[in-house]
Amino acid sequence: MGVILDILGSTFIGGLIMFLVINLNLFMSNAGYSSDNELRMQQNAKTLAEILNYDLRKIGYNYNGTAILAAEKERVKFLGDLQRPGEAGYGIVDTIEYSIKDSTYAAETSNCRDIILVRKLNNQDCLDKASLGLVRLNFSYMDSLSTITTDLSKIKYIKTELWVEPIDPNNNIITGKKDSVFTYWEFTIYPRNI
Amino acid sequence: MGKGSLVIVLGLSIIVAFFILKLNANSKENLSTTINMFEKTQARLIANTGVEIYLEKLYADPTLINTTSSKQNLFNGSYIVNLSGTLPDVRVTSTASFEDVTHTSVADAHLEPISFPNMPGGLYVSSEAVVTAKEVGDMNIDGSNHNPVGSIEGTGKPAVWGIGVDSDADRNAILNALRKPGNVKGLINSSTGDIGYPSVGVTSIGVDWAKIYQYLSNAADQTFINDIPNGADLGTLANPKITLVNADANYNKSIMINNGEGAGILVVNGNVKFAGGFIYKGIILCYKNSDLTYESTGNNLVIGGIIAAGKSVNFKLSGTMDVLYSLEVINTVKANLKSNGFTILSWYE
Repeated sequence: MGVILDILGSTFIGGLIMFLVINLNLFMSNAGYSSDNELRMQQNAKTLAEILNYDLRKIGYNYNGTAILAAEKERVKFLGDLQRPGEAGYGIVDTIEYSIKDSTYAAETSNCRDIILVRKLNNQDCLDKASLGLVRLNFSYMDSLSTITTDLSKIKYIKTELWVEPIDPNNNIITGKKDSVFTYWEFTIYPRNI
Repeated sequence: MGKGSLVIVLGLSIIVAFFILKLNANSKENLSTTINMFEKTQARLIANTGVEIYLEKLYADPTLINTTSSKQNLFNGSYIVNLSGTLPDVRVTSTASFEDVTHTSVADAHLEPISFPNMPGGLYVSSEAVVTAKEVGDMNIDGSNHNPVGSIEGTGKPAVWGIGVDSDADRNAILNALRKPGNVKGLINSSTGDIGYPSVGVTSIGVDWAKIYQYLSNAADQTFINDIPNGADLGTLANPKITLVNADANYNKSIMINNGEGAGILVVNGNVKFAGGFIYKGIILCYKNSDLTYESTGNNLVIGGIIAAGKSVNFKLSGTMDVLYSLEVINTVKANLKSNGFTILSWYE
């Protein structure tokens, strides 16, 4: 009788420990995946910001006249030389256009909200449909007094806002729903040549 | 049982340790993403600052053109600047390093000369109303063209009006009040260029003197408050200066200018009193954004021209104030004045 009780008791304790280990393993896998996802989201947001930052600072470089050709909420088109003196292509004014495509163009990702940032350099798409988890993009244009303007010749500042989510959102192990993490990145650029 | 527990605890500890290390690595990577952006921004700002610093240095010392700076430390980073070109055009290339990030900014700039409107008269009065018009004629004003020593150059042509004003009302007020018409010589017929007296003409040149005042204030070589101190160097024709004299907010007397000699552009902001013994070659701008009082006593000589600009201008004259228009002096001053600073033509960052 005593032996049977020992076996039952040790089986119960062993099962309990096994359950804890499995649970811990599941939690760690989930947390690790979430952590990787958030890291990638942060890196994607930084990449998007760097791309936009690099180009927007060149607005009007080596060009006399109104360099901004279109200034919309989700689209901006402008002229500027992207090459610095000494680089191949210097002296040739480029046309750069940023716009977005809706989530149907980002079919490779499991995030149903992400959109595509399109960068056209001299009318050729050169980002090749990269999603990078962008879900919303907003440009605002301001004059020298920081007042919102739609007059292309008066634009002095461009404020860019990015909302970025993981390209493959993780199912939360506790709630069973997709994690709602996102990152917001905002920067205002004063292109020196306009 | 004891060994089994030990194995389980150690095993779990190792798993948890690996997990924490993994999370820690992600956290560090995340931080480095943000820091990298900061480093790039910082490197760019250091490079841009280098451009601005060395443009100022080049402005002060033009011999720096076509030189490369030594490594300069700034904001925990460093930069090196190369200045190339032929003045007045320069290309500034600034290469900055911050941590492991390098950024290069390139700016093209042009050295702008000081600009100043042409003098429309030996004395030009820009105002809504000239008060005490008869006093104006107590000055000896000659719009004939003079040389830098004050002698009439050839026939005195091209001449300008002895007194230029903005409106017919001011012109008539002065003409009707002149006690000594012969004291105001200069252009009497703008079509023929004839010279005679009394020479008073309407010459509104549509200049916003407040802007000109601000522009010259920003470009001034030296600024004095209330009065010009004894011994102050006001410039020479070979090395003219822009001198600004400001009345401070609580100063209720006239700015006193006396016993001195200089050349360039003298900007007086406030009521002014030329108190004798003052000789100036160039342009004197007496400006006040309200009613201006212009006073002269003793013997004063201006070769070039005077502009009096205010809401109204009130003249109080005694003694001798000779104002001799000189195109040569004005052109020499403009040619020899320092430049107004660099204008950025393009900036790659």
